[in-house]
Amino acid sequence: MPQLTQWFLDRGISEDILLIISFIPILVTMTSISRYIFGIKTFGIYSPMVLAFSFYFMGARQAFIFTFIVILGAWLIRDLIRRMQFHYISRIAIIYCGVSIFMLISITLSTFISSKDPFFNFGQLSIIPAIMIISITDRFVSNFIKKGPDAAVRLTLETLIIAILGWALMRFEPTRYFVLNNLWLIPVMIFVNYLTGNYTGMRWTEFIRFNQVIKNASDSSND
Amino acid sequence: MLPIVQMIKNSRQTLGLNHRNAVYIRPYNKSKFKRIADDKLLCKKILSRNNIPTSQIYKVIRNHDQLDSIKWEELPKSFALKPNIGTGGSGIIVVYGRVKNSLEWIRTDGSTLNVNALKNHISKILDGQFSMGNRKDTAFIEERVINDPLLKKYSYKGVPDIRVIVFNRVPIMAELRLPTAESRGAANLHAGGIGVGIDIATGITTVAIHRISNLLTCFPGMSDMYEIIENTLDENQLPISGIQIPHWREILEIAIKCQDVSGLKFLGADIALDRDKGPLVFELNARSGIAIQTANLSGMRDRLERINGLKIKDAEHGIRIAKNLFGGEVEDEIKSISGRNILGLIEKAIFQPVPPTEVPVEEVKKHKKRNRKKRSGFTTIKTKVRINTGIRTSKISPILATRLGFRPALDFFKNEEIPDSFQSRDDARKYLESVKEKLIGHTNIVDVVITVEDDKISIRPVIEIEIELDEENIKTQMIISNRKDMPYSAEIGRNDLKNFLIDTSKTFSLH
Repeated sequence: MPQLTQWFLDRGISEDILLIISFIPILVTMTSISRYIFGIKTFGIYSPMVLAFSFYFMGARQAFIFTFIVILGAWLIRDLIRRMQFHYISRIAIIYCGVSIFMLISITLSTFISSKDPFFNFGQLSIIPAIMIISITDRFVSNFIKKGPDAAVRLTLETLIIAILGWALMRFEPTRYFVLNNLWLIPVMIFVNYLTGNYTGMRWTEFIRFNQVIKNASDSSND
Repeated sequence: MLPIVQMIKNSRQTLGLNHRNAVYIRPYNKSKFKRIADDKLLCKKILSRNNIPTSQIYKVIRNHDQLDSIKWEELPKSFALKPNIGTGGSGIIVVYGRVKNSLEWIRTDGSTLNVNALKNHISKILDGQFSMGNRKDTAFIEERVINDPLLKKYSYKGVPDIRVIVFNRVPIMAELRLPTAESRGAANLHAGGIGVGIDIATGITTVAIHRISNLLTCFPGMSDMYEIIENTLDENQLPISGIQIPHWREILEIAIKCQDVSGLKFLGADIALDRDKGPLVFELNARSGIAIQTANLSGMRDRLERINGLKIKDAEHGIRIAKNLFGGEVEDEIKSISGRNILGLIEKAIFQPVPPTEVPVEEVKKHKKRNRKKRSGFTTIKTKVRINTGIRTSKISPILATRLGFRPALDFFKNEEIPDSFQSRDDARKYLESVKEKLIGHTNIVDVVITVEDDKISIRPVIEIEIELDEENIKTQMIISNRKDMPYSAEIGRNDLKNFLIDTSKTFSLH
């Protein structure tokens, strides 16, 4: 183990803390690259990061189902109160309350299944990752209201993709140990973001989006 | 699908979001000016102060106290309720009538809104439900734009608008945005509205696009996919291309003026057409979207680069540049249908010199001596020519003919001492018959004809020459004119215009 990492551990810093600190720059860099190079948007930079950590600490399959239940709950409650008149913050608060009830029902139901399959046992979930997942409700509902259901679902999917990639990097032992043992990667990420921040080329998805325009430019130049 | 390398190369004409942000928005749209565009009320105030037409504001509601003190019965029958710093057209409510003897208003979809519903919506706006970053916002009520009768038939309930992108005082691209049933009357393309490209030169619509909504677009990064459509999406299925936008020149002038007063160098001006008032500025965009490129089937990056750094004197100058550089989509369409190019009255043409074998060695030497800097003999000459459908055979000035290597032919003609003018055509014909054979004995003279110039009947030589006009090569015969005051070095006559259509309003092209 490299001296720097060993030194941190000797000072009493836990491996989990070191893992979180060293992976934060990598996860946010992934979000930044996915947006500016590939053209995949997320619910900001915070959501994919906390989801990735939640997936890691909660266990991916359970966290994934938990996220699905939260999103589904938010959607249903939002639809239920759509025609009712409330102030904006009160509306969001009601949706949170609804999601809590929905979660409670889901968790209670899971205890009936858990006797047969421990995978569905949500009764003993880690609380902090669970709160992290619930906190994306706000972003989901806000996008749902402003951009419509299609955009909200798509952004959720895109956020989940980045989160799962981040989780995979942390879960895969060689990459996890590589990052833990090479803490110099943290300043390197600043440089990577500097390059990404100055990238002015087309995003990959724009090649598909503007396919007709590009094709037309080609036809004109061939004339 | 194109090969990847070719695709990347061709994509350089297209403006991507990264390029737009880094190269145009960040350096050219300063924060203090961006604030003007983002704040609709401030923007309208600045526009009105500068006599730019915009919709009238009836009421501004900044907080809940003001909301409680609104006298609803004083509101007009039709109006639009908007958030001040809203994004993407969200939070806008338009009502077009009031229920008789009641405080209820009729929305564009036929449903009604009572005072409580309006209050609630305003409250949402104030709490920031529709604002950028969910910041606290201000609501305002403004006059409803009454649709222009022409555009009304293409729109579903809402108000269509025209987005003009202006950079460096030049309108570089424009798009008509039509509300549909899918977009619930909003002209926003993301919401399902139709985007129609507009030919900058003529103001005639070209290609129409509509957002694809299927399983594919649910995939990450595939949200902004558009398909080309030909007709409106309602039951009438009206063809969308070929619509002449009313007040086109005025729209372009207003868009440039908006740039001048807003300070935004890269600007998207949304202009609606009111039945009674004509063009009205809806709002200004400091971060204008790039989907407009698909509607025009043309990249914006190439256009932006071509006008970057140009010194544009005024709106008139900017429009002229735009028409010359970016107009022509409709022309292209006419060309594809008729197979003919369109020429203006003044065009640029490239003249080929006399083939070297046909020029005497001494003449080449003389030419080299006169033009010491030129290493070779005669070269091609690019010059402006006049398109003249009043003459049959094209004409060339003696100066241009000399520069192209026809001096020996001219000297030969001069040595024959032919009278400068004749009393009548018959005199000229008789004279011509006697000398014609001798005159066309010169290598470069292919014919001799009788011409009438400045009321003088004369005999002039005809030479064979190759010219390139609007990228078309023409081998033609041209009369060497006797006029010394020809405004252009050559005039192209009907014989050479068979493959062209003439547009008298078109000035010469810069490219």
